[in-house]
Amino acid sequence: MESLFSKDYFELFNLPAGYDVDREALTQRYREMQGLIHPDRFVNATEKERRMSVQLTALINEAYNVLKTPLARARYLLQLRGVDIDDSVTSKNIAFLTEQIELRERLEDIRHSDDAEHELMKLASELQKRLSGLQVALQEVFWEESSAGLEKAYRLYDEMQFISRLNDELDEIEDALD
Amino acid sequence: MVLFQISEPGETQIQRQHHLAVGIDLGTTNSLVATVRDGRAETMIDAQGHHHCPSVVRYFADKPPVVGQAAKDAAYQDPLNTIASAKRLLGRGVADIETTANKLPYEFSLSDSGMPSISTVAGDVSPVTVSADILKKLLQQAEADLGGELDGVVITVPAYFDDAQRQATKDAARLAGLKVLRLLNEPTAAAVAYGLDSGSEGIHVVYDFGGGTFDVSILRFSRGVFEVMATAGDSALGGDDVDRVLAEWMMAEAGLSGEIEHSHLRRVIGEANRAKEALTTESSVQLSVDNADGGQWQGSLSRIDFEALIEPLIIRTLRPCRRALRDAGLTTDGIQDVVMVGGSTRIPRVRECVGEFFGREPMVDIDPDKVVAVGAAIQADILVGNKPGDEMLLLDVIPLSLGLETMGGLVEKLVPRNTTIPVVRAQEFTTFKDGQTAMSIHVLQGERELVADSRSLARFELRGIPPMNAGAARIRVTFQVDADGLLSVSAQELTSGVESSIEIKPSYGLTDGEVEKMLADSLRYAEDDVKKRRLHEQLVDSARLIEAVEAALNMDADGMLTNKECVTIKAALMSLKDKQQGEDIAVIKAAHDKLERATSDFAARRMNVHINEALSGKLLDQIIE
Repeated sequence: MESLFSKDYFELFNLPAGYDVDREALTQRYREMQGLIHPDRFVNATEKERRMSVQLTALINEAYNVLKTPLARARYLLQLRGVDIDDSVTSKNIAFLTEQIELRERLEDIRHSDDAEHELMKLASELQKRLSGLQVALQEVFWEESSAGLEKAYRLYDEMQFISRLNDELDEIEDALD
Repeated sequence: MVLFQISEPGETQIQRQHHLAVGIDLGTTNSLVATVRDGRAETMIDAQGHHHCPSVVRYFADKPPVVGQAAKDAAYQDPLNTIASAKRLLGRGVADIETTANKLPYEFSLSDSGMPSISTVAGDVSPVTVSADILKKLLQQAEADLGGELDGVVITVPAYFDDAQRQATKDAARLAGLKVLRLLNEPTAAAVAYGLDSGSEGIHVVYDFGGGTFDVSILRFSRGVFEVMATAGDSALGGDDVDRVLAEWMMAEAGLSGEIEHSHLRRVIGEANRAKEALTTESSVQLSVDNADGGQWQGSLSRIDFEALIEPLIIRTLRPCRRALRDAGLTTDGIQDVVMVGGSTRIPRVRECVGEFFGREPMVDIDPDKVVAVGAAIQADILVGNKPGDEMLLLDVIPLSLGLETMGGLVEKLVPRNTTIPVVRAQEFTTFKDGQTAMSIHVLQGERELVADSRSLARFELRGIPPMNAGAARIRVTFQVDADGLLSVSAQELTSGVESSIEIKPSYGLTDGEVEKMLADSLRYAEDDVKKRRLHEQLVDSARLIEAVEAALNMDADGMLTNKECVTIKAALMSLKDKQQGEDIAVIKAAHDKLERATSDFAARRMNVHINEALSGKLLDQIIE
């Protein structure tokens, strides 16, 4: 009997392994599986079953979360295709490094701005656009099943990760404004 | 065991009896119990015909405590022994006392575990004990009404309760001898009550402003599934604070200083509470307060002035609303409706502000004081197994991020807030010094980056790490949060396999030993009662197991078990059934554990087979229909 834990997330959700994910199918499948294995279905079961139910549901939750989140999905797909992701290595792309510094500076300016709210919205919407663009680009390069394609995908993922982090920091600044 | 019924719909199903289950809303000010009768969920009444039981307990030197209205009535004459709003202290530590408790009119002492206790004539009582006494009263009331012993309860907690507060609630239930099917978040319970009532699909906001806590949850309801998208709140903000603001104003007007006697303070707060309630319908109210020189201050307060006084509190509730929207990735345009829950939403100005914020008239169709208990009763009825095949499912989240202390007093978050539960997350850490053989694991909850600003949940040590160079050991720390929102943590050194794990017992919560001791202490009053209750708990547990195993054997013995395995399980089953006839708890427990062990592999096999069958699509059509 093949254990669910040995399946990859795409297999688990019966979806083709790729960057394009059918959101509707993903969600429907998620709900079906939750309906079967959620701990609420095992309140009266044996302790062993209750434990398994918690672990399996946690697995399904994790898989769903990865597959539905563009950044996490890109990372997972890269790992699945054998790319060793090292978060401690910084990008070698000089143009992007320069941009990173500029964006960081803008973020710091917002922290001390008199019109933080407005500046924040502006940057947030720019970052959002940037993320959408990166997603489209990722979609294309993941179709190329070459090592050059993977290389490109990794670079795009790296950019996406930076922009996402910046986005999170913006949220935190917004939190602090309240 | 819905799983089996889905997989074999044509087969004979085990005839199951109706189980007795209730939902309990353990509130700061009032508690309620509700049940499903003839398919309808309704709150239950006590012998005097009241739906609400004031969450007040009065302690005596020589007799059992009194709970509810009678205790509340005695609050003025016996303020130090009459405990109200204990929920605000549940799972709270010494530091919290300084901010919260000095506003409460009790005398505090500190227990060995660092948990605050309240000094009464019956000795020191912890907030857990007070909550347990309220639960016991509700339990008796429910059992008298339903005419039998309960098979399980669902207890609601504020969505924004942290792990320590949830654990304390569960300890209270254990102390009261309740079989807890699930801790359910209050806004989620309210959504269930509304969702099933109106059947409306879409995104709903639940604004829950109670006696002592504020929660806001955003849920998506679709095809029987309630999915919490985000939750936020303030676990120390409620109607109590409204009363206090009003009382402080009255004291200032009457020329009373902060240092007044407990019973006097109680009366002022009582007067404030009366005024608040009157101002829900009246445009002004007359007030009177005894002043220091034995005379009386009299005055009046208009609704407009009252609203100005409490405006800051209302604004404090809107901040979490904004944050929940942001976390859910929504604007107010995406919201279908806003449901009002909790007594404080009776204040007209609260309704107005919420209406303005979300840009729509809030819903108040179901009594805001009863809706949580009603939702809990519906969920209890399903969980206990009275509605096999019911497809309703609640997918809830953790309200606050969970993390670990790393070098420099920083928090590394392992599970971010609003992650769907259950969740299991692991992260690897390494040693800081050469030859380091132990590692201290400090578990924290909250959104801040510094340990000092976060809530400390627990500390434990992983020992026996083989000496290695700094950075060579690989220690994996795993967080597991179950469906009740309760955390357990384990740590393992991967190169050597050294392992250590704990169920998180909050830094100032009760240890298992303390719960046992408190159980023993309650023997003073009712030895037989406690014994009977524990026997009953064991019998319920075992009956549940027997039912589960029999259903499993019926369905899957053929094909999944060898003859030998089948014989072993049946023998263990017969033995437990036999021991169930006796009254020796230890003997029944031993037979119970033996049956658990005997069926462990079988359970794992069945789970895998059924889920794989379902996932392979073989049965999906039936499930979707």
